[in-house]
Amino acid sequence: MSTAELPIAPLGLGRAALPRIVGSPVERIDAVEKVTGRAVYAADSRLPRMLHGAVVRSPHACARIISIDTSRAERLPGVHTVVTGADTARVKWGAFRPDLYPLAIGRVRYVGDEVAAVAARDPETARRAAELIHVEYEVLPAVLSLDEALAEGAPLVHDDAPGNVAHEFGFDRGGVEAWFDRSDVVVEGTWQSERQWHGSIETIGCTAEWTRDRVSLWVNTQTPFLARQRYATALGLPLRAVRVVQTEVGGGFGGKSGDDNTSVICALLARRAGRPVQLVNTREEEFLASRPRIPMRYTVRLGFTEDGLVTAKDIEVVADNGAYTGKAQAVLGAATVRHDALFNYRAVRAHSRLIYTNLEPTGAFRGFGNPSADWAVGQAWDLAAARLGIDVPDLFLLNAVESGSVSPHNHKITSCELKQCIRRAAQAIGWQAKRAERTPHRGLAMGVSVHVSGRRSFGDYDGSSAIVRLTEDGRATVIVGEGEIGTGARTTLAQIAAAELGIPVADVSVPRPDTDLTTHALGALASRVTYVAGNAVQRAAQQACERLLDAAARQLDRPAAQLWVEDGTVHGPAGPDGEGPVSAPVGAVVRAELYRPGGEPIVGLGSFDNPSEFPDGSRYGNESGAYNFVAEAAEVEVDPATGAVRVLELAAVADCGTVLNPPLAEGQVEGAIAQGLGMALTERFHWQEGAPVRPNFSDYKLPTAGVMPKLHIGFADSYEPTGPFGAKGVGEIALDPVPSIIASAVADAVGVRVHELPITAEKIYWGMRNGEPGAAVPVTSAPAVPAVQDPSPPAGADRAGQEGDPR
Amino acid sequence: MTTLDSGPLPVGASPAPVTLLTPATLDEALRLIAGGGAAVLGGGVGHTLRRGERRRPAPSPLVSVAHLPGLTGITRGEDHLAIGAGVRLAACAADEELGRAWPVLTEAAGSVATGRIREMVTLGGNIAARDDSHDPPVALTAVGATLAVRSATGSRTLTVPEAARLRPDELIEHVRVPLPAPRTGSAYEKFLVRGVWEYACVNVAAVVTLEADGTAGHLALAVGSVAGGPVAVDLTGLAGAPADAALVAEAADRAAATTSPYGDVRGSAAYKTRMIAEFARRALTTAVRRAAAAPDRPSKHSAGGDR
Repeated sequence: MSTAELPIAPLGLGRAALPRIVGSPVERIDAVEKVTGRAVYAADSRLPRMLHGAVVRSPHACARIISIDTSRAERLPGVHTVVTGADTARVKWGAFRPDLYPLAIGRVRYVGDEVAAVAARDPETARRAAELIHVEYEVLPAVLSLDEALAEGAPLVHDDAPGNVAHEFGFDRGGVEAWFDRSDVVVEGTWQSERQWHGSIETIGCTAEWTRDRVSLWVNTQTPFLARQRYATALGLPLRAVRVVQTEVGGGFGGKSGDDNTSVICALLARRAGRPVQLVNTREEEFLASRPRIPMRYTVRLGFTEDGLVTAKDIEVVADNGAYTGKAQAVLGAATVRHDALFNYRAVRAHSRLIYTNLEPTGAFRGFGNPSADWAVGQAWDLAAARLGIDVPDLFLLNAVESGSVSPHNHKITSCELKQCIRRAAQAIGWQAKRAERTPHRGLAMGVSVHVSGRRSFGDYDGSSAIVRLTEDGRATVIVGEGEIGTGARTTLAQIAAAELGIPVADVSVPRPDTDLTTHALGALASRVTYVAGNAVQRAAQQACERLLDAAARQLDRPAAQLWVEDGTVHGPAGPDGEGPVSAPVGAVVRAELYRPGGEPIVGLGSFDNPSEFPDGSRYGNESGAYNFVAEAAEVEVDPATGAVRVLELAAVADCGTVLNPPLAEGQVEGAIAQGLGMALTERFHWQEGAPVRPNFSDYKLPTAGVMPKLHIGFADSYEPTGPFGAKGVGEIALDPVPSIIASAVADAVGVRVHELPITAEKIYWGMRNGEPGAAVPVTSAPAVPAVQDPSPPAGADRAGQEGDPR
Repeated sequence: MTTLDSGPLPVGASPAPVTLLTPATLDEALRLIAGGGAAVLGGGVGHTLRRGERRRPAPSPLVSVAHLPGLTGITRGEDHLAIGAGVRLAACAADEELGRAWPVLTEAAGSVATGRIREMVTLGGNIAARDDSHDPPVALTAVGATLAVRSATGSRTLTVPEAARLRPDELIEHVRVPLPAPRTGSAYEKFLVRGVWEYACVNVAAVVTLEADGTAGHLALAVGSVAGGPVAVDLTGLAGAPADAALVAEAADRAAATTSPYGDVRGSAAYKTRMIAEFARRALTTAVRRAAAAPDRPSKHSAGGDR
């Protein structure tokens, strides 16, 4: 394939002919370094004279700090410095609502809140010194659940947030009540999601080093440039005083997007110690003080005509912010509006509130609000299908958006193969056959979701820029600030550059982001890198290729338009005067262009801004230039004697436009399904006094291979005209519908619909006993949240109970 | 209650460095622990897990015993099998003779954690950890195994539930498992919330010996993950009845009625009580089926040596 032979000329249906390398299973460019253990993760960084940090955290959900005695810690041999809130700039920071001090000043607001920190010669000494710091607290009343936080006269988590409301918004677009009046069928219910932790293999970590008045931070962050902005604020420094370099990232999933204090404290320690300091979360700290998924209590009302057309949707969302805000405000925004780009609602209304509690702060997690929305709204759709007597896939097909649809929030749907996804997922799971011949205690269900490819949310910019530099040894360096969090983004960007340039992927390197060296980028969030950065890299590579061919034209004496690059060599046709075909290696052309009087390097610059709109305060605005879709169907089996759920099969068909690298895309879908199953079935803690009792993987059960069902993964035949080679994002979407699908399948299997995540065997068990006539022990206790109506054990039967579970 | 309880906050505590002693003989090990204060290290799994606990002073020194000669084999005696305390659970689970005699033991040993962990955990360490959710002690309780225990000054025999009375200066030398009577069946059932690699929600072991007329001459149930566990369920009065569904149900209900599970992340106490009945029923049903298929006289084996 050559760039000259096949310039990306539009074909029918807006599609372009795709270079061979696009859609091929190119090996990850970082595969060998990862498999051989040479990849440098946050805790692998080593700087001369480096110290190690440890953090003292609050044991109380809410308390006033009376005094902090650091003298014993400071006297411990090997300790270099101790910092407290008094040593900070006393500046509150946060992505949207600045409410977090780097180290507590005056007050702690959750179990795990950072109070002091130590730097010492080794991690063990630092931790022992942290133990020697004595903090005297006056314990204050805390609000340990949404209900407690919302109660009349409840203690305030922050004095400037009356009613503990951190953020609130709403809208009524299209006149919901009028549409409900015209509806034949209305369904309603409340569904509650839970905190879910990212469970990354690598915990959050940072290494900091000061040179004069500038600090360099080597962080396993998903978003180096956004993190730099926030860290500079938190440290009371001008932006230019902070440099962030991305290390290898052992799992991001939203949890490493820079809303926590670890890097800030690391920088404070390094400044005070006058030496580099490394600070890495323990697993326990990761569970107590990272930014897990936001629990949402989500009440949905849906209206339909008797023939199944959806009319109106009305939602009331109450979200548990925890003690500090971070990105929770944006997550709630997504949870409120995103779903409306999925079906042709005539009218939508919402009232959403983000509520402070004295619990662990919540934030970004793969799906970014969508999973909680899809869980609740998906359940309402499943109920509606039953009420209407229409099979779920048919009801979805009747109402699904398609190319050209515009949502009530002005989401403009460009490419959309949602209907294809629904049909193919049904086919893959064997929907018709399984419906025709039902097996006892087995249930079948389907769910759908929509996600963005980048989201205009951090200011009126969702762009990316890239520099492609051709080197005199015939390689290409793609300089882009987006980075790699394990999804294979660097490989995909290398593939895009290689496809444009006509050189092998192995000859493309993509250095890690460094705010001093690489282009500005928002980083790996909102499923944006392939789409937004992919476009920037493609444009940069196109420009580099044009400049290469211009240089080669002069060198080879052929018109540039007749030249093409293939496998790292520039080729030209036979000349008009009988000369034979010409060729020159890319490196030779680059070198010759440089090594001449007035010579120049060959560099291409490309930039792309997501063709989207910055949503207004009521979240009106086209968030993204491209939307990706998924339909998933699952069959489960429930053991009626225990309530235990086994997911037998799960089919997922995603529309992410052109699949640039099938194994990488499949990996994203499989991993997202696994995390969705964890959210649905296994992941929870036992809580006491505002914190998990045992914050470790012994209690917190991530799904293992044994939980995974047989998967049928497919991709829709799709092409996004604004995407690089037709591609859209795919990193998050497959997680979104999973909890709802599992809940619906369980309801289909045994008639029990669980309203609170996770869907445990116990909840199903009690639900089945309640539902069976003549059950030995009737369910007599009132659910904690009446609207949630969860099956629960008989009153008084459970000694340990579940009190303390935050709701 | 599992021994992984983390104790009070705040977080951030770190275990201090510890001394590890590696005696060459059992007698030397017993002398090292005779003074108290030392902690015994078998496969080291329990110790490693506990190292992460907050606010728990690390014991020192550690005395490693898993490698001691004479503790790492399974020996057949006239009427029993003696399993050395240093035998790894993976070896227990894979032992053919043990599996023929007591499938409940090999099933329990094979259900612990993961294959890699079973290669590390010793049977003695698993029992001595005195964790009511551990699987092998539940199965050993049901089969009526005893513990041969030694200190520097003497030796004694304990039942498995009596492991709670192990003194700090004592080591389990081996576990003595009686050979089953003819027409004996056994089975182990473990209910897991996730399905793999976790402590049980409930775990139950069952043993049944059938008489020629189809009645249950002997039956035993042991339950783990309950207060004071493993608990040998009192089945007085049930032996002699026909080994049918009614007897199984009666015994299973008694297991549920006489044990006290606790609520935790794996389920509420009320739910666990229901599950104890359910899994006791399953274990007994399998045990009865296996007993009916078992040979009606003891199988002839050559006396085995230390393997």
